[in-house]
Amino acid sequence: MSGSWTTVARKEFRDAGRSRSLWALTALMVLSVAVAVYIIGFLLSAAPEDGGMTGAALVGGMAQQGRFFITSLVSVLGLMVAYASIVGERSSGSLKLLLGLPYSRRDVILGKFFGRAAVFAAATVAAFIVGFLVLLSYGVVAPIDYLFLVLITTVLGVAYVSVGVAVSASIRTRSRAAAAAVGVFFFFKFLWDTSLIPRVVVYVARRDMSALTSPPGWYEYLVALGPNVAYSNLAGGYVGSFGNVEMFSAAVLVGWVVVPVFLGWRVFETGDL
Amino acid sequence: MSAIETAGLTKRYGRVTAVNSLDMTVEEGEIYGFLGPNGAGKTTTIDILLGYTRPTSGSSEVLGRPSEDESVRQRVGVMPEDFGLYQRLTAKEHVGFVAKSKGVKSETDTEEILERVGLEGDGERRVGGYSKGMKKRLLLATALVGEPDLLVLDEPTGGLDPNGARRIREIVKEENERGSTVFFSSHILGQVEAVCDRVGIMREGRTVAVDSIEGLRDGVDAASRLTVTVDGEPDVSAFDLDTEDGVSEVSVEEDTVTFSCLRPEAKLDALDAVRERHDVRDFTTEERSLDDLFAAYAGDGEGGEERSHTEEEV
Repeated sequence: MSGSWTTVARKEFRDAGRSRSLWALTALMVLSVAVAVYIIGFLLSAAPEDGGMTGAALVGGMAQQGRFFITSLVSVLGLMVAYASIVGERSSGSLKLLLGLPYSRRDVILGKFFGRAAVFAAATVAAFIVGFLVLLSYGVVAPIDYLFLVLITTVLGVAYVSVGVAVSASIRTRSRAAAAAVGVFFFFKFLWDTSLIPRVVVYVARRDMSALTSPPGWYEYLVALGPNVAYSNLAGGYVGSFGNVEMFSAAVLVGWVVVPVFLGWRVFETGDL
Repeated sequence: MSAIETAGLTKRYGRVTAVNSLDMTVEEGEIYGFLGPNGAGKTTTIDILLGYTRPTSGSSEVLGRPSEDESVRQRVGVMPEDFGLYQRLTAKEHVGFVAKSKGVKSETDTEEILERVGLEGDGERRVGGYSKGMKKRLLLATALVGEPDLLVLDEPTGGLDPNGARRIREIVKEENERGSTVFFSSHILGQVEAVCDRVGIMREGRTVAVDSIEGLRDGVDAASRLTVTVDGEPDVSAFDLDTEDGVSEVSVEEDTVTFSCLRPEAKLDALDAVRERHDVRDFTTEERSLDDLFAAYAGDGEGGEERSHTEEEV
């Protein structure tokens, strides 16, 4: 049997698992989630008129109040885990060692993606287990809600891993890949999530300022194309109703997991090392 | 079947042609020295052979399969020139990963391979703390995993001390005796002449000579240089001798004329030609070494001596 991407993924997990900076980021994530759960719990128990202290309210509070914070942390961590995965090996020369083995470029991309996604998932799960322990200290538990939050947070992070791997596969120097990763983060955080670009799109489509105050029906779907917005829709969705926009958002998140890494593979496949 | 076969292989980067219509055949079971100065296109050729780089045109086959077919690399051991290792993994983990990738059971012979390249006792250390020479040794160890049918070694002795370089040549011979074909690239003739059955010299993207070491040596014995000192200033245009007369080059410096001769008898003709026009005060002849010949083929003005200096530094 010749090499398979699972062997690459396992190597990745082991290698990245020894990175100090990734451990520092994991620690930051654990601490952040624990503190977030604690503060939201504290606020909820101090304001019982909002429906009181229930497990669902606590998790809902996390999803609602914490989403700016969670999407920021997760996108940074996801991109950090992945942006150097291929370009780092390209600049160190170990990519020649790797591709001197019986691996196709696709094996390498898949192995990188799954290995790094596993690193991210491990950090997220660790953070949310600690968060769950803090949740227990309030004596209220909503395990299904909480699991759903863990799930969508992991999917969001894996989507950013996918973007990171794609950036890493298509950009030739490490510093440029890092710059591109920072660019991706700022684009979504400050240009998309703030509705700036979606509003420009609406204006260009309608040529009418009033469309900005009463946006067309498709506006919600347009905004939901951003991974952070899609995540926020889902995080809010399970507390309220789960409608069309939420379904669309779920599809968008899955798209952000699959499409970037696929495009990255296409670029990587045909290029020279 | 040949171990390596290229036909019309060409690689262009923009307007620069790195490999120019290269036809090369490496027979199964031989040790092939792939020589040429830095920048001749050796590494680009190897990159294409191993599928790292796609050629602009032409074909390259390794062990009877096209280079893009990754499965063939199960039977190939590779030492790239500009290589890197995984800083956070140990030497044993590297060998283990390569073994697993090639579908080889590694448990028993990881130690043996590390010992063979002189890394006994360092197997548990992370590679980040290795010296350059140790990294090169580990790279060789990974190339040896699974008894490959073909070893592709790009400047394997670069960065090693003379002992390390000798050890590499010994291993190359051992592997060849086991039945492996070895493709050994170097910019230093001295690194390959002791082990190679055949040598191909590359220059500006083409092979300019392919021969056995003996064949090259025969050429060298014949080749020599004649330097004639005359009264007055010699007139270079007067010496109408070219390669047909066995003279490859004529140069004049103050009162001396130097002829590079391809055949021994050409020296006498050249001397006669000078005597027709000038009073000859003195002349010397000088046999050329294999290094000079290589330098002449490689043709970048650097002498063999300079090359052997780089050998120590690299």
